[in-house]
Amino acid sequence: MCTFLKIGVHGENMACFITPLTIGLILVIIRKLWRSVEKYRLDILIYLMLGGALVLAVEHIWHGELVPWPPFLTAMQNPEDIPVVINEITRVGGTMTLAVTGAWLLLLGFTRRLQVKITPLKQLTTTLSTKGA
Amino acid sequence: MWLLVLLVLSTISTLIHLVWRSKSVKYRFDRLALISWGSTIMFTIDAVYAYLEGEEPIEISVNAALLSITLVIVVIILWSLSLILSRKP
Repeated sequence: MCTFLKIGVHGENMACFITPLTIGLILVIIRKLWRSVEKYRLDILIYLMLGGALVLAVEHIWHGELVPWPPFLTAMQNPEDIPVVINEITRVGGTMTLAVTGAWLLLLGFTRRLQVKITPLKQLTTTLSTKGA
Repeated sequence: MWLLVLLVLSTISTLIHLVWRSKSVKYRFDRLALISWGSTIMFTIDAVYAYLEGEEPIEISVNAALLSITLVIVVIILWSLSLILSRKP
């Protein structure tokens, strides 16, 4: 919907999905180039970021804000509206990207804590079974 | 309305992933959950900005219901695509 920043714009003005989509694509490239980043579970962030952005893009198509011909965003047809569109990309899109990154960090922290709790239990079980044998 | 539908989809897919662990390995319900949670978070931010602008954050109409169904289908398509693309030859 991205109803934010419709002020001063003729018709609909939607572009907030661009920021998470761009970040998601950059993350895909980073993951392909540097395999060492695998430990940070970038795949989770990529699914969150790209999945969300693509679903949001479909909602924009539904509302006629995204079209298959240039300039693709109906809000970009009027050059006067470009600063407003850029403002929306940075503010709303930026907030979306930060929120998704925050969710990923929370999930990562929760998983790490869970792993720390599980590991000593495994060691204890192994020691006990060795003595028993 | 689509925000609520996506929230329900996210919750259900997360529960499916957690309950049917053995099937989740094959069908990757974790990916379905991640895609739906990603879209839920983004639509929530969108609704918050809409609310701050004094607009109705959740629209209930036939059009909204149709869009909700479409978005659920899109999430399932994206999940299916991820399964097809990650399949090793």
